[in-house]
Amino acid sequence: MEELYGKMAEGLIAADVEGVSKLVQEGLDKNLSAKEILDNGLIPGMDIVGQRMKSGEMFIPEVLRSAKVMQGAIVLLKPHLSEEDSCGLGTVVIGTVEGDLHDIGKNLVSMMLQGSGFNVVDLGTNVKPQDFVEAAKSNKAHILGMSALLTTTMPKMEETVRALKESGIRDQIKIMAGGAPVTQKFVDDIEADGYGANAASASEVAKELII
Amino acid sequence: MRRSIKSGIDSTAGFGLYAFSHDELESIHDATLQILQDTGIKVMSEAALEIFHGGGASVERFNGYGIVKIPPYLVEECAFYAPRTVVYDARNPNDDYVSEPNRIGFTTFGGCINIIDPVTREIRLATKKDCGDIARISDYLNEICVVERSVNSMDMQNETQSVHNFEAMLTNTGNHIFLGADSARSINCMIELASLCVGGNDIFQKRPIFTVSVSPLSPLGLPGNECELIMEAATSGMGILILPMGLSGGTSPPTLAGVLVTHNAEVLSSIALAQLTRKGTPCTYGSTSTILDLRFGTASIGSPEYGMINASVAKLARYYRLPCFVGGGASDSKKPDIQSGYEFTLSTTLSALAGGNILFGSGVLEQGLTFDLAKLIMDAEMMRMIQVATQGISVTDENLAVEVIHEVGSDGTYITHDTSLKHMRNQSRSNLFDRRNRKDWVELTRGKAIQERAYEAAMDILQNHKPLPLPDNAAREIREVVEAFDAKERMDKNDDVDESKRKIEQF
Ligand code: B12
Repeated sequence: MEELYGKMAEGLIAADVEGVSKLVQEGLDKNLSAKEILDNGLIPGMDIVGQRMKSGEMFIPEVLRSAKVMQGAIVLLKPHLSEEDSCGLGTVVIGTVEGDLHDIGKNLVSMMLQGSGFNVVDLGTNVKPQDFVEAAKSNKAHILGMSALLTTTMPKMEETVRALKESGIRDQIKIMAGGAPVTQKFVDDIEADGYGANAASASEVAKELII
Repeated sequence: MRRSIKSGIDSTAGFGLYAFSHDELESIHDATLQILQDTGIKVMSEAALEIFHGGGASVERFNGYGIVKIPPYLVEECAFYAPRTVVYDARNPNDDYVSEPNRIGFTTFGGCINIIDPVTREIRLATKKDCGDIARISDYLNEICVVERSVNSMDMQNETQSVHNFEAMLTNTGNHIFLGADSARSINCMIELASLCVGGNDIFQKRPIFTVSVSPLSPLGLPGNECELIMEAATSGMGILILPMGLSGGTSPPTLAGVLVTHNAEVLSSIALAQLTRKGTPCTYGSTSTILDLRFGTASIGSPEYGMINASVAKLARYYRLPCFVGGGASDSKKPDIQSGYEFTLSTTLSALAGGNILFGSGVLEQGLTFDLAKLIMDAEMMRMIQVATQGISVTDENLAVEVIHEVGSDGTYITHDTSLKHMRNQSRSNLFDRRNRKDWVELTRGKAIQERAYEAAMDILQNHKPLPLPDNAAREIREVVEAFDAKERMDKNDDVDESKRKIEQF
C-alpha cells in the first residue's frame, strides 16, 4: 500500500494525469476506500507540492497543473465517497470583497485549496457581505475565505464578519482572510480565524482550521 | 592651424537604447489592432459602451458589461487626436514640465500603503501627513519633475482618501501633481481645490495643474470606475494618465512581446474612450506592468523584466508620439539596502536610455507596498548620475580638444589648464554617495551608513524646505471644501451602511 500511495504522490508532483488515474483505479480495485486513497495518497502528495511551492522549487504553473490532476482524481473518487466525504477536506466559499477587483491572488488561493482537496465555491470579485453570507449558508461552507488588495476595501472584511455574526452562522464557520495589505493583526482585530500570506500557507491554514 | 566647419556628419546627442526596429514596432502595433478588432475589450460601464458605439465600435452586451470591438481606423484616429507633447502645468509656473520626445524626468512610485517611519524605523500604515511630507521632499528635489501621490492617506475615511491626498500635496508642492481619484465626485472636488489654488476655474481650465491616473483591468478590461473617471476627466478638460499593471504570466501573456500587445490594447482603448468623450484630451501613455514571479506569486518590480517592459513601453509611446510615464526604479527589497539600490539602477537606467518622459519608481520597496524616505533621497542621487550618463559624450571640435592636448603635451597637467576651470562643473557631483578618501570619509561621516545619512537629509528637508505658499486664504478655503466633502461622503456612506444592514436583517 505504502508503495501505491508513494506513487500517487509522485504522480501528482509530476502532474501525470493518466498515471494518477490508473493508480487511483488500482487502489479502488484493491478494495481501498476512497477516503483512504484521499487521505493517505492524494492529500499527502499535494502537501509535498505545497511545500515545494513555498520553497520556490516548483513554479506556480506546475503547482496548478498538479492541482488539476488532483481534481481529476477526486472526480474519479466521488461516486465512492459518502456525501460528507465528497467535499474532500471541506467546502470553502471564497471571493474578493466588495469594491475590489483584484483577483490574481484569490484565484491562486482558490486553485491551491482545490488542489489540496477542498471543495471550493468561488464567488469572483466585488462580493458583497450579504452575498458571502448567503453563499456560505447555501453551500454549507466550513470555511469562508476573503481577499482584499485595497486598504479601502479591507473594512468590507470586517463588515462581512459582522454580517456572519448577525446571520447566526458565525459559530459554524471558520473565516480566513488574505491579500497584500492584510496582516495577521488585522485578521485578529476583525475576529476572523486565519490569515495566509500566500497560496501555500492559505491551504496549510485552511487545513489547521478544520481539524 | 585652422579647422574648418564639418558639413553633414552624423551625430548622436546622448546615450540611448535601440530597443526595437521600426518594423518590430509596427508588428506590435498591428498585433494590437488585430486584438482590438477581433478579440475586443471588456467594458464595464453602460455610459462608456454608448460612447464606443456612437464612435463606430461594435458593442455586444452581456450581463453587466459589453465586449467592444474597435476597428483599426478608429484606434489610430483616436491615438492621433491626443496631443503630441504635453506641458504639465504646475502651480509654480517655473516648474511647468515639458514632456517632448526623449526628455527624461523622474518622480516617485505611487499609491503605497505603508511607510518605514523615519524616526522609529518601524513599518506602519502611511498617513495624510506622510503624503504631504513626501510631496514636500519631492518639491525640494531638483531631479523630481512632477509629484506623484506616493502614499495614501490611510488615516482618512475610504471614499475621501484621494481628496485628502490632493490637499496634502497641494499645500506641499508647486509641481504638477499626478494622482488617482476615488470617484467622479472626488475629481470634481479636486478641480474645485485646484481652482482655488490657481485663482479660479477659468485659469485652471488653461493650466490644469494635475492629472488623474486610471488603471485598466488586465487582461483587456476597462472597469466601470476607470470608465467613469476617464469620461469625467475628459469632460472637465483635464488630462489622464493610463497606467496598466499587467503581470506577465498572471494577467498578461508570459512572453514579454505579448505583454506589450495586451498592454498597448488596454492603453489605446482607454485613449479611444477619452478622445470619443472629448477630442484633444491629453493622454499620458503609462505603464507599471511587470512580471508575476511564477515561483513566489509576487508582482516583482525589482526584476530586470520590469525595466525591459517599461523601457519598451517608452518606445511604444514614442511610436504614437505620446508623452509617457513609465516604471523605473522600484524594488522588491524590504529595506533601503543594497538590493534596492541595484534594482533601482537597472530599471531606471533602461527606461531613461529609452527616453521615457517621466520615470516613476523612486522611494518604493516591497513590490510597491512600502515607501521609504531614505530610499527616495538615495534614489535622487542616483537619478542625477543617470541624467549625467544619458547625456552621453558630445564629440565636437572643442571637446576633442586637439589643441589643448597638443599644448599640454606629455609634460604638462590639465588641472591647471583653463579648460578644466571651464568644464569642471560639467562633472557629475556626488553628495550622499561618498567619493572621498577613507580618512576624510571617517572624519565627515564617522562611518555612518548611507541610509542613516539619507534619513537625516530627509528630516532636514522637511524642516527647512518651504514650498511655494498658496495664495492668501486658499489654504483655509481648501480646508473648508475638503471638510464639507468629507462630511457629505460620510453621510452618503452611512445611508449605504444602513441600507446593507437592513438587507442583512431581512435575509
Ligand atoms: C495587479 C494589480 C492590479 C491589477 C489587478 C488585476 C487583477 N485581475 O487582479 C489592476 C491593474 C486591475 C489593478 C487595479 C487597481 N489597483 Co492594483 N495592484 C496590482 C498589484 C501590482 C499586484 C497585485 C497582485 O495580483 N499580486 C500578485 C498576487 C498573486 O498576490 P496577492 O494578491 O497579494 O495574493 C497572495 C496573498 O496576498 C494571499 N492571498 C490573497 N488573497 C487571499 C485570500 C485568502 C483567504 C488567503 C488566506 C490568502 C490570500 O495569497 C495570494 C497568493 O500567493 C498590486 C501591488 C502589489 N504588489 O500587491 C497593486 C495594488 C494592490 N493596486 C493598487 C491600486 C491603487 C489599484 C487601483 C485603485 C489603481 C487605480 N488608480 O485605478 C485599481 C483598483 C481597482 C479595484 N477596484 O480593485 C494599490 C493599492 C493601494 C491601496 N490603497 O490599497 C497597490 C498596492 C499598488 C500601488 N502601490 O499603487 N491593480
